[in-house]
Amino acid sequence: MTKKTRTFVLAAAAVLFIGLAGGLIAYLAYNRGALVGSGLPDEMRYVPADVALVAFADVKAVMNSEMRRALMPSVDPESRKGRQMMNDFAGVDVEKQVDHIVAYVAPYTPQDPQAQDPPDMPRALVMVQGTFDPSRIEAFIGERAGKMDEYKGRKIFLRTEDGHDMAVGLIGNNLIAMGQGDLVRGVIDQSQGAPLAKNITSNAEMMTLVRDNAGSTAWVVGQFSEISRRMRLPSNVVGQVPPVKLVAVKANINGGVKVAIRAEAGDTAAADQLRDVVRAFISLGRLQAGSKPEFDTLLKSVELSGTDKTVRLSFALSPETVRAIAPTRGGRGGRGEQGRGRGPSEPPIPPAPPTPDGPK
Amino acid sequence: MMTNAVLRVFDMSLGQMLWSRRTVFMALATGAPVVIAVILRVIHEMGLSSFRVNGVPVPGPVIFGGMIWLLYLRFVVPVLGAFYGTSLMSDEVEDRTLTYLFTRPVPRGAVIIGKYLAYLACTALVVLPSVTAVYLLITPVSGGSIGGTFPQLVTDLGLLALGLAVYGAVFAFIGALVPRPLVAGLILIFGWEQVALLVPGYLRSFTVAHYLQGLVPHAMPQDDTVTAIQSLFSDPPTALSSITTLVVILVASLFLAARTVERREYILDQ
Repeated sequence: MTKKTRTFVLAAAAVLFIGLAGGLIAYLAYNRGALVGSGLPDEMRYVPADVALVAFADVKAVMNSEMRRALMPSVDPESRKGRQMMNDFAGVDVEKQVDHIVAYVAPYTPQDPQAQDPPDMPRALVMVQGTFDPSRIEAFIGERAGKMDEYKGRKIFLRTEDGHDMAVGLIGNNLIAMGQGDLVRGVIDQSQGAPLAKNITSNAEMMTLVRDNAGSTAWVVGQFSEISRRMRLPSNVVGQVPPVKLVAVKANINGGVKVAIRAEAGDTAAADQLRDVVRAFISLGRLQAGSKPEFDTLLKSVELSGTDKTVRLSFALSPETVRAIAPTRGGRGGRGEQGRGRGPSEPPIPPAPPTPDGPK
Repeated sequence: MMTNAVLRVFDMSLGQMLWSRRTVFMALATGAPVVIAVILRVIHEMGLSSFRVNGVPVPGPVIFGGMIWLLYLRFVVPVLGAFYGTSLMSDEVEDRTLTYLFTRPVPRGAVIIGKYLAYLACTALVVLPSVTAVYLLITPVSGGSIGGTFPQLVTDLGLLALGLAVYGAVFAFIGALVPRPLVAGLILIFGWEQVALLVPGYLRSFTVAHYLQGLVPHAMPQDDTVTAIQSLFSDPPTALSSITTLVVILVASLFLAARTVERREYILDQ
């Protein structure tokens, strides 16, 4: 090999090596930045930093839990509506095909500053990780007059619901995203390398609560203002609650449900005030629990703690307690033995007949 | 003995190939995408929004994917394979220098294998750095990121290297077998492969492009009617079956090329 040839070979190899080494370093840095910690799903990298609410559910763990097996026979079919809705929308069988779900709600920013109520349909995205059959999803969408499109090489199914552009995007073989069209397209962009301006990992306040929930079967972390608005809490109730910034709820489900609620108040005084309010509610509950033995275990397990601006409340639910609370087969809402004993065919009480003194 | 002979032929042929007239064509074919990438990047840096298609902003990785499809996979790789692969033996015949090689105490098969390896090193050392340079220039703009798409680059480099290897082996066999192999090679690339990919049915299974396209990590650009028809009938094979088939084509073509050179009697023009 001549010197000229050797020089060329070395130069070309050097260009290739430098390019690959640079790419590898960028790749490692990108992945390190995207990692959200152990026990948290990878899909968290697609969640924006300014999110109002983020939630996770390990569907597989819930489906395989003893709790579910114990409750299934008594669960009201109406309560399976959400699961059915998802099946109707995307052709996904939650029980068999889904491993876990990550969802987020984007913050509500009204175009009209005077508007108080948020729209009925929030700007939200649900990312479902599991094993899917794209042809089945396609058939489902086709049957329901959905439109198939392609976005950056990924199939995206569009459907208009209540004037909103809803979409289901096949992000990969095991991930689908459902929600507003622009949010779904955003996930496809990021999955192909487009950087998100900032993802939730850069939101230190929220990540503290999210990391605290890592490893739980299901959890929700969100801004209290957004949650209260979504729950449409009356303004007088909201006014009574001390200023709370963030709320996190996590649940570990197996034989029972262990729930932990953590609230981050605006300051220490607000946290103390919140602890007092919660303590009062617990005492009230204990006073009224004498006639309801199924709540006995729940009230005995309640623990209120927290320091500084943090308020923590934890309790455990046995299958019996959940059965008493949850909607039961044949009735709306478990109301103890009475609720369960009432059959669906019980006729309504007829109106009282008019009396001569009554209103005409 | 065989390995030593192959390495000797490789060493000798690499220099010859790099500094031949064909190098000018290779430099143009692989340099043009880099020049295009530099121009696009400069325009973008000047704030003139170069990364737009029909007025819609297109991210850098999508532009890079389009360049891989249209420039490298459909043109550079098959054409370089045809130009260099078909010339491995035919150049020696045309230059009447084949006698010098065949009178050496090396197996005839080692000559074609050594020359083939020299072709592979020569083209890979030009094409792969060109792709890397284009990637570094194009990908990071308009919302793209090098870190997020690096695995795609590795896949691209791997499939282009495999494409060069397979096309080179096929054309080495054609070059060893037929007179005027370059014409046959160009007919194969721009005739047979293009038509077979468009025809519904199993004909596409007899093209190299079909298996290479099954490995591309980027979406096929819908640039014209032909591509639209191709994607309509496209039923891409799995990555595993693509790689297996390409390796089988490579090994079979090289074996047949070596066997042909061993057995064929080359008559040199006087």
